[in-house]
Amino acid sequence: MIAPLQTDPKPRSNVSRRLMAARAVVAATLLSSTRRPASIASWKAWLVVAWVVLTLTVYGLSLSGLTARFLG
Amino acid sequence: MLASSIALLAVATIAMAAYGIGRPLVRGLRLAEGDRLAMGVLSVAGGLIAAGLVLVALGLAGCLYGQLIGILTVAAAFRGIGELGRAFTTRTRTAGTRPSTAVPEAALDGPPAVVRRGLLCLSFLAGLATLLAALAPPTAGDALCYHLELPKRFLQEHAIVHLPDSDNSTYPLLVETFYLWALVLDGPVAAQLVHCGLGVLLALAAVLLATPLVGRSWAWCAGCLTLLVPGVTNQMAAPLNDVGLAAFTTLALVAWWRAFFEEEHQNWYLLAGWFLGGALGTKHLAIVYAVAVAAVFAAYAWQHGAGRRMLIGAATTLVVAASVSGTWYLRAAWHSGNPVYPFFHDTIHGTGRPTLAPDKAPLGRGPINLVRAPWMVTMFPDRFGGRGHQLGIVFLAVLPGLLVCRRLRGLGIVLQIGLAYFVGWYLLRQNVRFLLPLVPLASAAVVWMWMEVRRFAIWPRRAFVVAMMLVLAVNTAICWRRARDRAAVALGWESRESYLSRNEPSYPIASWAAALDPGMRLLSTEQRTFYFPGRTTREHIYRRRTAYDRDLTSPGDLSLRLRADGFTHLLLAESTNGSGIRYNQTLSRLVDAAIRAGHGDTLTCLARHDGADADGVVRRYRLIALR
Repeated sequence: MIAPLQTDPKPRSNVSRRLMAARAVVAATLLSSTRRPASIASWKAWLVVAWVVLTLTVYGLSLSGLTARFLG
Repeated sequence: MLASSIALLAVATIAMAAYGIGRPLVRGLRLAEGDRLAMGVLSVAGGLIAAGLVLVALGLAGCLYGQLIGILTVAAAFRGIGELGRAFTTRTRTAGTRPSTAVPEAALDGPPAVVRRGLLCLSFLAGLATLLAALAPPTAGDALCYHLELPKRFLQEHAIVHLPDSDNSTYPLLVETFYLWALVLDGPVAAQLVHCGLGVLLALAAVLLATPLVGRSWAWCAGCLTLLVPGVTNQMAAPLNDVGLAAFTTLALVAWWRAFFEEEHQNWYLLAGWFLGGALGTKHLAIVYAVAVAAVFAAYAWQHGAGRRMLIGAATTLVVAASVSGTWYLRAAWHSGNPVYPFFHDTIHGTGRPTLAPDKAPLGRGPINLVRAPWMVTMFPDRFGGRGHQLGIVFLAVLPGLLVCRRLRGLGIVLQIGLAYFVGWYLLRQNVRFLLPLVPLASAAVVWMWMEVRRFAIWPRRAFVVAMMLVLAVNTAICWRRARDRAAVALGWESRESYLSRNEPSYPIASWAAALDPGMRLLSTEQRTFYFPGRTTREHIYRRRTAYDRDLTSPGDLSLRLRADGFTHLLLAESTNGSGIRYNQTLSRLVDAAIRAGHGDTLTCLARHDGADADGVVRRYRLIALR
């Protein structure tokens, strides 16, 4: 039987844990993804929702024939 | 149920034959390799156009025989089966379409599972209801006037003939050749199912259009949204041609986008021309769409210094499109001196009805009314051709929200094309069903808005999602409401004859006439003559062409005069209440005058029938035999 090759254990880094953490902070700052875009301002979001609700309401009335009487 | 199954089988055969024809064409162009969806959609749609061209060639050569078409169909369908087997067995690359480099990272995530499943579920339900509705015998007015009537007549004549007493016979009639195909294989229900299938193609084309913008995962939402538009599902349940037009215009834009905007293989221009030709061969309105797309991309090319590329691409596309659709326009020019007859005939020849008549523009003209148009069209669709064709509320409710969204590469172009087409629609004929080519464009924009809603705070986001779910559920419910009356006949619980007797006012007297004399030559004041036997002629156009009513020296000459022109029977129609259709009563008055003058023996009334239409109008019919 052929003995499995013995590999060297992973070389230990000379870099201290604190320095690694500092590097990680810098890398995260400079290289992190900007995937999550900024939120849309709340008032804009509510404005959109208000428009949606308004149109749905008028449309519902239109389907029931009421807008033709009052707005048409 | 057996009849419905046979109709479904006929349409499946047509689809398979189209795939068998189209797949080698698309493969030969080396396009869409590795994208099974694109390959399938482009193959079926492209094959349909190719098959339509073969039928047109047969029609112009006077060879429209059922057996010949049947043999060719079976051969193409077997080829389609072979191609399908080859597609499954051949190992294809699984990479899918190359997403646009500018697709935002957020787009690559895909929609949340609940959104994806919800939309797919609603689309499935809407599709099922629409399929049920499409399995009922057709009763749509325009379908019985000419979308089915003309193919029936062409089959009777074994040729695509010019009918001087039908303005519609010189229209572009590509989709009607598909109906002719379906009439050969089965009948009017199969023809209706063909348009239903074109609606599915439209939804899938919307997926292809949205893919470079928002990624394939979100693009499926655009497809579902397209399928949930009330006007689309309504058209899918009737053999008209607006959904077919929208499918071909969208596919033309898909191909053009890949060629010009994404700068992929030049062969995409050929495919763009092929589908643009299909659209131009379907309806004149495709010209407006082509002009809108050309104008927007010309401006883009001007800004980006791509004028030469634009010119080469446009020239290639136009040459192919003209080759595919030119026959119809040459035919119209040959017979009437106007390639877009009967439109703009007053401008070209100084005769005929004005194309831009005030009654075709319910909104009127002017920039202020243009701004009002989206609101009016959405809220009051019955003023623009009917509530059945409405686009629904989603677009009006959501699209203004794009003002708070980030810009997305390509979306501006899509919106500009939509706006340009909308302005053209506004300036020409303001009928809401003519807006269907905009649906895939607007759906892509709505999907981007949905994606951006993820940036809303939690409560407005929830409110938005609830509102959208409500709207789409209502759209699905509309489909089921439409299918409610038709489910029984679709499932075989009611006979087609019984269904038609209840729903089509002209059917009882038409079936009676068919039993009486299958070869009758009918002069009819009713235009919905598909269910009548023999050859029918529209009285008002015949009168306009011959002025027969002014040639008569005495009332007794009427029968003699009409028999001399080959007619054997008259169908007189009158509407007795309601605000719907009004029939010209010239022929009825002439017949009554002749009978009063003692010539009743030359004009025998064989049958009378009163039938109520869906709009509440009672139609009173008289079938008169000429002796």
